[in-house]
Amino acid sequence: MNVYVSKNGKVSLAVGEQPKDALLFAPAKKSSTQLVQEDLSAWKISNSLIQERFAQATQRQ
Amino acid sequence: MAKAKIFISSVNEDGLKRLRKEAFDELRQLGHEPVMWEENLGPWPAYADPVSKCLEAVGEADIFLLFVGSRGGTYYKEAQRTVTHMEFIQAHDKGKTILVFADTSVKAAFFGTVRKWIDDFLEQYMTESGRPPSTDEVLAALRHHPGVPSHVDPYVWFLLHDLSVRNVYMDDLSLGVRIDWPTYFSDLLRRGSMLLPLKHSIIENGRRLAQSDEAFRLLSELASLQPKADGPDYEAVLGAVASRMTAGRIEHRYGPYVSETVGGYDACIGATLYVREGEKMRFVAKWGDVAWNRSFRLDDKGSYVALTYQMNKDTVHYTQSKSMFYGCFKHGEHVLTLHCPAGPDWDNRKYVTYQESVNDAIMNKNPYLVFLVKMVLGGLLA
Repeated sequence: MNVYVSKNGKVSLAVGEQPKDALLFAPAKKSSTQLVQEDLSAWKISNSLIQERFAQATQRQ
Repeated sequence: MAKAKIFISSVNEDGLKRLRKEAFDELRQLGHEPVMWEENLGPWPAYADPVSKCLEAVGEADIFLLFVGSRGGTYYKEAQRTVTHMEFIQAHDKGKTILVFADTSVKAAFFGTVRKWIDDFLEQYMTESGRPPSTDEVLAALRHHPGVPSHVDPYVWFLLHDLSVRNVYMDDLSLGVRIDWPTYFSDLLRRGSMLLPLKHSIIENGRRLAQSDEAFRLLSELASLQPKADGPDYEAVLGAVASRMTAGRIEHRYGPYVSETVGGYDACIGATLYVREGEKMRFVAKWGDVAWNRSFRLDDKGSYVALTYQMNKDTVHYTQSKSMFYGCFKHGEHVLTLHCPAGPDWDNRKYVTYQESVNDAIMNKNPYLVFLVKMVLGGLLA
């Protein structure tokens, strides 16, 4: 991911040494909405797996 | 390598003696570590309480194996329970794997008639007396009831009732018929092996639950905030959000396999909220001792507030001179900033190397919390 630097009123790619008072940043790849949606989806799949396995493991044969 | 420690529990009655001994020997031959009163439990010094010692051993065991025949065992008046029953309670409380074998005829009588009779008795007693009966009262009632088989100690029914209330499965025990321990434990191994791979899923779900719980607690706190005369109490909202941004570690992941801690950040020391008005980001509120401007021009490239608005993305900004991470969250026309001091070993070079890990640690610390904060702010400022 690219890192950007804000200095002297301009934003550019941060290449090489940067002054101490420069503002550095790298935009996040995913928004919080995307993160929550992905996590909820993984949670759902995970729950199904756990329930399915426990049902199999505790089934009396 | 650790062996499975199996505590063998039962009343020391004639019919079960051989079975206990056979189980002990066979389980040991199979490579497990059985523990049983007559074989390898005790003796203890005279001052030691043998019941406490037995319960300690149950706590140290991995599996609790209980045989139930027709005798109740030694009843401790003070505890209102037998030793065997107390051992079971200890195993249940400690979350042990519990295996119960109950005499088939006793089990049949219990599930056929006695269980319902006890249920009815308890309900009727509660209705008439307004309190549950004592154990002694239940035992006396069982002893005198003509429909309850008298050759079985009343305490056995009381114990089986407790097992059934706790949904503990009871296998059949036919005296004189050997239990096929290798097959039984092979099945237990099969079942355990099905569950062990769930470790990651269970831990991850626990993490998600903790994060959701934190978001719910924040929501509860925000819902209880009293608005000010001139509108929402933004400072209190920011304080509630910022106080949940606790110190954390910044971890660098090497693919999905391994990660290492490369630094950290301190708990959030301040927060600000801005809203876009025309060509400016106007200051709305702050929490904590942080610098703020009345407004920033949208094209101000030196302002992390304006930059976040323009990029339309959540972003962590860093300045070495202030040794600070600024978590900036955009929602609609608003930008919320959370100020977290960077650990002492951070500098520009390190930030450039690990910026993705910084984003992960701060932006993704609790996505549910961030999502909720945005929704709340969106609602308040709409």
